[in-house]
Amino acid sequence: MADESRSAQAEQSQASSTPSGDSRPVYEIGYHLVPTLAEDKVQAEVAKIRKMLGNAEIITDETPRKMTLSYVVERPGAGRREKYGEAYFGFIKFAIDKEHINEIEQKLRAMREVLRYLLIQTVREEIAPTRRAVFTSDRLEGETIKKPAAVEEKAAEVSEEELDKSIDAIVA
Amino acid sequence: MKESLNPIQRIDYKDIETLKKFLNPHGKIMPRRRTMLTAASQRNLAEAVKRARFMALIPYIVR
Repeated sequence: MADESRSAQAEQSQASSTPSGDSRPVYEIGYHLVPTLAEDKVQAEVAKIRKMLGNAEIITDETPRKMTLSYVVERPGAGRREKYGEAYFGFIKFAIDKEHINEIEQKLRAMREVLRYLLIQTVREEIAPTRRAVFTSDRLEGETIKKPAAVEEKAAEVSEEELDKSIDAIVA
Repeated sequence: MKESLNPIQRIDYKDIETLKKFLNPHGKIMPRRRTMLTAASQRNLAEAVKRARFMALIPYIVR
């Protein structure tokens, strides 16, 4: 796995548009903090990362939440490899001058509490799912289409006389 | 018909729910003929999936 090389800032094709006065490019750091960290120490780590950004304009900041990783993340530790099955995942979006990015990345890499990080260039706007993605295959969706329950016809109340009359009409 | 106005123009690696719609049960990215995305969208999707894999949000392989 070429993990290290992937963490290098990957260029995104979309140019960062800026509605406000700040014309600096927008970046986002997604990071995993080691799960051995106590719950109350997490905020201190976030503060460290924020401090590292210096005069950057912070756009969004998500507090790390503990999550189970999809696979075991390993890294060389003191003497033996450290293995983690869970981590605190958080991210921070900010605008900063391009020349500070290398420095930030170096500092981030040096942090032992950061298990893994991803530094990408992005856009200022929230990338929210606008509507449900059009999906053409129903094989994987797995949702069975249920037959609408047949509406039972309610028998209208008919009096004896009317019944007799209608029977006569049929017979006649 | 290609989804020209598809919502995947901007896709985020953190949006796992959306990404999973374009993965097969083994965790592989589906081909364009299955996703029906435009070429640009498919590239964005691939980028987002690979980022999510690196961040262990989705697995590289499901056996």
